[in-house]
Amino acid sequence: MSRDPLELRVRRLLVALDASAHGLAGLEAAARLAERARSELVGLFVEDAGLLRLAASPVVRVVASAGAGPESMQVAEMERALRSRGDRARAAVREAAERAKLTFSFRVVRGEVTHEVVAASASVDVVVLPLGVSVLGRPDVAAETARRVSEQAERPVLLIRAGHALSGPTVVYDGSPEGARALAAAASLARHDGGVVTVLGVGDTEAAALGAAEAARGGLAVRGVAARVRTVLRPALGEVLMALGQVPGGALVLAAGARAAGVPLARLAERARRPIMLAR
Amino acid sequence: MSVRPLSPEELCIRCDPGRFAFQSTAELEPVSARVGQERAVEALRFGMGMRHDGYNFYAMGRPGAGKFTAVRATVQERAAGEPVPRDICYVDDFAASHKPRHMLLPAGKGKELKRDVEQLVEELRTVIPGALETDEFRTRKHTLDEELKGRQESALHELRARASKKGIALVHTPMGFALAPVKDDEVVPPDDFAKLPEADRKRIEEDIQALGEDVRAMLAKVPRWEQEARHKMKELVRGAMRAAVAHLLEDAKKKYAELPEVVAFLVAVEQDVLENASAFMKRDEAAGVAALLEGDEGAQLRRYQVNLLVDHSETKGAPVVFEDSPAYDNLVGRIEHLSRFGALLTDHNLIKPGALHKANGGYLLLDVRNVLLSPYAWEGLKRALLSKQIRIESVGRVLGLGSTVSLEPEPVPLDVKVVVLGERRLFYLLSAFDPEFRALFKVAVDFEDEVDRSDDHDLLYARLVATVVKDEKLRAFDRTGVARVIEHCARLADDAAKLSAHMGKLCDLVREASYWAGERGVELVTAADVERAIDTGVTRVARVRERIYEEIERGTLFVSTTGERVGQVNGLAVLELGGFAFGRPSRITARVRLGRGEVVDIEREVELGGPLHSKGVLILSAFLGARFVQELPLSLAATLVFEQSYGMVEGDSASSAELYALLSALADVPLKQSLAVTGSVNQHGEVQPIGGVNEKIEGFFDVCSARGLSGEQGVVIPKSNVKHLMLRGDVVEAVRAGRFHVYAVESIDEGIEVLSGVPAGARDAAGKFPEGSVNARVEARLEALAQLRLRLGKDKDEDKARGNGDKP
Repeated sequence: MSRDPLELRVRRLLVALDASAHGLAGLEAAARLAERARSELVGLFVEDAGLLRLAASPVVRVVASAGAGPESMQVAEMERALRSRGDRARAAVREAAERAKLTFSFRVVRGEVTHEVVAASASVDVVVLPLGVSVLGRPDVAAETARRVSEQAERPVLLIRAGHALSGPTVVYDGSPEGARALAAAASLARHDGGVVTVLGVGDTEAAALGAAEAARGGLAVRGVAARVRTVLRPALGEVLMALGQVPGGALVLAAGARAAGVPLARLAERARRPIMLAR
Repeated sequence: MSVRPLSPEELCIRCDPGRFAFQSTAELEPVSARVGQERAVEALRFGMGMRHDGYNFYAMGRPGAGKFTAVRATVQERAAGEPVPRDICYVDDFAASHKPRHMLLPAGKGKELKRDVEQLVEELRTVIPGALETDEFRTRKHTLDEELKGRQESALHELRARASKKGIALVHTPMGFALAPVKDDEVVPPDDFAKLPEADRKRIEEDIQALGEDVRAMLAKVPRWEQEARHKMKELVRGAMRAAVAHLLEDAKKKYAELPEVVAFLVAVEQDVLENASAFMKRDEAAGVAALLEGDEGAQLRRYQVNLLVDHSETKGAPVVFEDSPAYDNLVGRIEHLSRFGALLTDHNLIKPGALHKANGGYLLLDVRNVLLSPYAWEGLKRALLSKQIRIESVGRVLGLGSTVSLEPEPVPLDVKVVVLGERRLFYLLSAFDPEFRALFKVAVDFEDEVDRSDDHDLLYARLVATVVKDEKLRAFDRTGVARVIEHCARLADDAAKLSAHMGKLCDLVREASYWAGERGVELVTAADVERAIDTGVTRVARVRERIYEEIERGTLFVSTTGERVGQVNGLAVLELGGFAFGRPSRITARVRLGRGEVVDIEREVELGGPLHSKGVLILSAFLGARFVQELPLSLAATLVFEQSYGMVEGDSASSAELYALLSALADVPLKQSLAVTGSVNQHGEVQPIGGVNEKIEGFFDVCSARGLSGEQGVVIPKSNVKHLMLRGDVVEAVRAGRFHVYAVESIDEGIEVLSGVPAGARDAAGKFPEGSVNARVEARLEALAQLRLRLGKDKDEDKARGNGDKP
């Protein structure tokens, strides 16, 4: 049997962490994926150079809590804060790897977050980024960062979210070549846990959407994966979100540069409330 | 003066079977065990009728007198016509779970409520999760989530927008929200900022400061927004649940509308359910003590359960409870604990009832000795009766020994009649030393030890036998069997004119006689079976008696049954071992010589004589001094000994025997060793009654029989004891055959004549005893001793006058 050229292969998994509580919690989902694929876990923590520059400015003021007034920032304090977060991230990766009996590595670099993550992605198969919840008082890796990484990295990007599993993926498929990669990635995720893939067939018309959906069903069948299909008309953000509200949880799989499906990634990442896999 | 032996008919008042009209007890109507106990029964009825405080009972009498049976029967008769008391339940006080509340419900309602609440909780476990999983609820919950999120985002967005207009960025950093001047989306480097005009720098710094204050103000609002969101969420959940549970609870409230306390409880349940929805959602995550208690599922739901402490759904009339193990906890109840992971946990479901709970509204029967022997039980019982409530507390808590947090169940009002059963001695001791006793136990129920022997009572006893036979499915008794039982009851009473009221012994005799009839393979129990039951009963416990008699027979213990001796007589004592009494003959001897009037009781000198025995001996001196040579000092030194006695001698029943020995020694008149003597004596020489007369006579008879009855042997007893005689059949038959004799005497003079065969002698007009009589000889001897003493005293005085006195 010939090998699927589009198959998602996960030999090395890069997990870029910001050491926030939800980021560390989301690490579990990445570790489970690595465990099923028997891949190596590569941890990365970026000490954001932009934050250090910010702290160096004498005019910058920081408000830590409701009880404290605006105060000046100190570079040393920022360095300590970042170092502490790096240590927590290292401990979390080690713990996750040991629990799943995975080989792992971890490094801390200082620089621009997007640049460093993109640079590190060259040596891995999949990049994992935690998606924070956009709530005040809690740091998050903004969907914007995720968008930039997904645009620049040449690897699939998995945006994980604390408390949400990857199994039972939903794929957005519009019949494009990029969509085919998304379909293959979804099939790989489903095969790992024996689940069913939900296909959201996207088209400008109902017929086109249905055609895409059926094509996806066929593509999945060839890969030995069962499918449930639904149709979504382009432009698709609202449609996709509505459809997602009616299907079981699990990762949402899109082609990278998801404009192809008419879906702005930042909004989708913010509102979909589930992990997102950007396939390429 | 001549004392005649008693006739066989005087030795045992037989019960004539011929006067019974029945052939067997199967024809007789059963009778209660309260025969002859009219006084006690009347006291019980009086006390039960008195509903005022403190009219509890102390039922006293000898152990085995049938107190319990009689009390229970009497109390049950009355209780059957009294109302059934309320069920006692404990429920959680949701406002203070460590203080469970009680509910007193009409009989049977407790069980019903318990079942209904269990069913209600089961339904809630289904209904509540369903209510929180509807699309409508989810949508509204999602809306609330979005509302909070939107509120926060909107505030942040507005701040960012204002900052942006002023060329300032709001950045989220690990240290908090930072405000920095930006240009072309990049933070203005410090060097560039320094190059700005003074006015611009100042403006930017002021803007940053002002925005910083705004950020702080916004952050200050976040907790309130979250609190509001949580409140709204809680209200949403409550609303959804209220709608779901309301109809279930409404149904229950309607059902118990006439019981306000139940309705109040159901309202409290409803409120608590609404506050604790999680208990119905994720049972294994319901943390805390309750989760540990339950172990796995349904943990917190235990708080809704009804602990039915006392269920009267099947009770008829007022309860009559006998607690045979009246430990403190068994009386007032206890709070049990479960051990979970090393911790001891409890809740209102682990409250267990005590006997006071079970008997509340009715009657509680207790053995007072058992209560007194159980640590703190008596105090606990009194405290409950005084306070008229049952407070469940551990002994440690009552004593202030422990401060562990535990439950404090609401005390249950107490309305109970307590009957404690026990010995008279304990009643008198409690009366004397427990100041609260008489106030709490005002009704003394005094059970007779014996009843008069009459035709009516004989027939009642026959019915009593019939009752035992019927109750215990024994063999019926024929008339002879019944008659023999009645005779034995008279023997147990130690009185031919009385019947023992010791129901325990009577029942045992009936059972054992029935057994022996069975062994014979007959259906009707006869006198022979009763006799065998009595004999075998004695045989089983008579080992010590047999050994003593054996040693007498072998000559190890000196007891003569033939011949005559001066200053020696056979006395009779009674030994009681393990409830079996038997007579033991003992040799008593007396020696006299010149002295100062002392009659020395050797038993007393070596502290083997009890006070009553010593009293008897001292009376002898008084008797001698008063009767003989009144003008001269009593000048003898006499010693009295219970030969071969190595234990305590108590009682004065041998005082007449000692006097006979003393008179014999003084008069030098031999006494017949074929006779034994019992009876006490007073200063006037009158012989007084003693106890155990039957055992004493039989004891000497057995010793004589073993050696062979000579026809001379017999026993001298006080005449006042004749009415107590209920001797064994073989003794009576021996008397009838003239081979054994029983003499009843009223005075020492009569006794000494029987024992010596010599007239005692009475003073004539000149104040002299007849020549040769015992009394004349005694007086002569005492006079001689007195004269001798006077002469010796005179000689001594003369010696002193001559200067020949003793040198110091």
